[in-house]
Amino acid sequence: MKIIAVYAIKGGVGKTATAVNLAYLSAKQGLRTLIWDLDAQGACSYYFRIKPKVKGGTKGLLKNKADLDHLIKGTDFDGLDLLPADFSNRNFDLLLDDKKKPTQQLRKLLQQFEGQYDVVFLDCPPGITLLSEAILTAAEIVLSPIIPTTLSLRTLEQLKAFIQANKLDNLQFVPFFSMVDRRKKSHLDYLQAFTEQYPEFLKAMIPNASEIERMGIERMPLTAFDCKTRSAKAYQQLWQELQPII
Amino acid sequence: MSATPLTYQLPDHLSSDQFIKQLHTKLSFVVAAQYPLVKTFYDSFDWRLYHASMVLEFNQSESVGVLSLMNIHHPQVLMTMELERMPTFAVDFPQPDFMQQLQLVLEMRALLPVMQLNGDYALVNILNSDQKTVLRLVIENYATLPGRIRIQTIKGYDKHVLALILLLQTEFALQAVDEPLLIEACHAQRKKIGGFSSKLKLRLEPEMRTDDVCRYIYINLLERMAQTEQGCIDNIDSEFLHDFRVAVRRTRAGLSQIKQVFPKQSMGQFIEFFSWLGHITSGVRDIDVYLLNYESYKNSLPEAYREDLEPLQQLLLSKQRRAYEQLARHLTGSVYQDGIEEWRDFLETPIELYEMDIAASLPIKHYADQRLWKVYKRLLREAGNIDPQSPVEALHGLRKTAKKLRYLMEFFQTLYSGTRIKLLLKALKTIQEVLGRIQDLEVQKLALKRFREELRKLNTPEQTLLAIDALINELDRRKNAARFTYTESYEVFSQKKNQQAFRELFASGTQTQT
Repeated sequence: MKIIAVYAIKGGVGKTATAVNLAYLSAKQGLRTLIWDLDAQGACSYYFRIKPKVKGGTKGLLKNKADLDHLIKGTDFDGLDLLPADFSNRNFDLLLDDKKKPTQQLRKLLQQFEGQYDVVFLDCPPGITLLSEAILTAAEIVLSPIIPTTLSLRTLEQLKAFIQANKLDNLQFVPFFSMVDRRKKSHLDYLQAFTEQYPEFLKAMIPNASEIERMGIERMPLTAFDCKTRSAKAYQQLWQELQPII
Repeated sequence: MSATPLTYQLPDHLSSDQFIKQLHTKLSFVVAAQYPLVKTFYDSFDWRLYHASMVLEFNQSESVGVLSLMNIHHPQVLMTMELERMPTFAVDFPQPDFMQQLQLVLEMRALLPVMQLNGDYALVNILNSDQKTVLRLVIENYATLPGRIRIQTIKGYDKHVLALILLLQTEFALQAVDEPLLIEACHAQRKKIGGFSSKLKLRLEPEMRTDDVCRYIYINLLERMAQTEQGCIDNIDSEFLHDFRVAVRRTRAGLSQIKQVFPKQSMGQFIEFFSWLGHITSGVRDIDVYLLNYESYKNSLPEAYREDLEPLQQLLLSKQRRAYEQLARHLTGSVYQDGIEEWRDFLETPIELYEMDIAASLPIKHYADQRLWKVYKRLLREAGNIDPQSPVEALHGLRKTAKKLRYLMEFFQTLYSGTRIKLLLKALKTIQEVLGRIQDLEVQKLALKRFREELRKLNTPEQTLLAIDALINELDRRKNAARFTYTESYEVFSQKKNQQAFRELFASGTQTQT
């Protein structure tokens, strides 16, 4: 079982859209896939038309030996299940803080899915919190969408420093460009500069396109309702690039 | 949810279209797919999937083919994949999960269509107020059977399933169906379920006449040959020839061991005919065995040699192709066809009593006791002269006697106490297998030396010849190891408890002869 966190310190960079589309492509490829909506906003659950509600709330999730299986919902797509968000996820940090070894909690919870799923995607809320630390401890790959701007570069550096400081040596850090607008000169300049400075960036770039916003209307992954668009192809390329890593 | 009935039968008066139309007034849903369907069930000739409680169903429409592996007792899909053409063998499956699961059950057997149904397919997604699919209905109509509705559950939406079941049972008055579709279709078409088995299931009574029992045994074996013959001609998989040869060998054992029953002058031609059949099939079977063992041969070598063995596999494959072509010529030729016809005529035509030999009218139990006791004593005699250093030929002779005894015991086993004879058969089988392994390894070693020579003459790279040399050494090592297990297995077979059981079972009625 491979655990992939789609994570960025900054908000609004396309994390959920990425997690949703990659999870769909993973299931379509025949991998038993779970996506866990950890964000209290519940956008990921919304995209799959699943109520952002978990029996017992976040507190229930974090109980000792909590059985998460009965909280999982099947999506409309074969092989793809979702652990929905809950509004109480906003208290994740506080609840984790009450536990012994808080950063190990998610890893322990996810162990119960070993053998049941091939890939687990964690759709993470933004910020750099105790929950982020628990997520990065649980994941084997952190897939990080980066907008080609100065602020994003700053968060990229912060994230790398955070991984290093917490000695998450087994965590594979995989950044890629997101919400790229090729009409903007600044984006083009940053793309060039970032690529030279950070060779670890994947080649696939997700454009800043209106078709991705249509996911909110169709309420399903873009790759499911219109796989021929530029953005859908970019997600497919991103998934292909991830294959050797997974 | 396991006890909840998930499959329902559509009554004759309700087509799937009518059902969907009526469903509109009750539920929110979309028809996700609807098309004409050809449903083919696949299994091996001996129905290995069915015996492992599995069903392999290939649903084909004009645009898509979907293969599903299901549990036969629950409408539960274990695995599913899109597929254009059905592969013949488990190893040919593109998806590793399918390949591994099927290979475990099917091994070397080919997949064959065992049942086909034509009809229409519809997939209905039942939606909740968020337009989320909460469960699916698969509705299938068949030309020759009542239609079925199968509920496909979606994780986390159990309460919708119960509500739907209530609706189907009360509003539509649908009945749940337990019987798997494949079984229902087989019953409707009067097709035998479970396929071919090479195991003999003869029901004998002690007072039956010996000649009647012999006919019964031989006709049974002849039927097995008829059932597997076409599979040998078409070279479907190696087990057709294996089962064909088992029937031939059993017939030969009968002809040589069940004596003084039929007129002697009639039997000579059949003994010769079945000996010829054994001869024309043995070379082909040997090549099948080498190819079945190929992966194990390869893996027994150090990793660096393994790929060098490839030309040997190619040589074996080309020999196999030619051998099967030759076999097909034999089995469709007049010598075989006439021989089989004459054998069948002989078995089906009554013979005047005065023409029969002296043992024909004996009660079979009396006759079986005599024969089994005699062959058992011969086996003990021969085994007494054998030790691990004895020549391979002596061990082979002992193996043949053990095999004859085993076949006779299998013919007559229903005349004896079920568990005791089964235990003796098991002990006999163990020693026979050890002897078989020694002989097979010797034959394989000699054959490999011949193949090596053939490849050398074809200027095959030196590495391949070296790999074959390494393999010959390995087979020799295995043969010598097997020789040492012989003593142990013979001790188990000949232990006092077994000797006593043999005596009590077979010698009690033959005291005067012993």
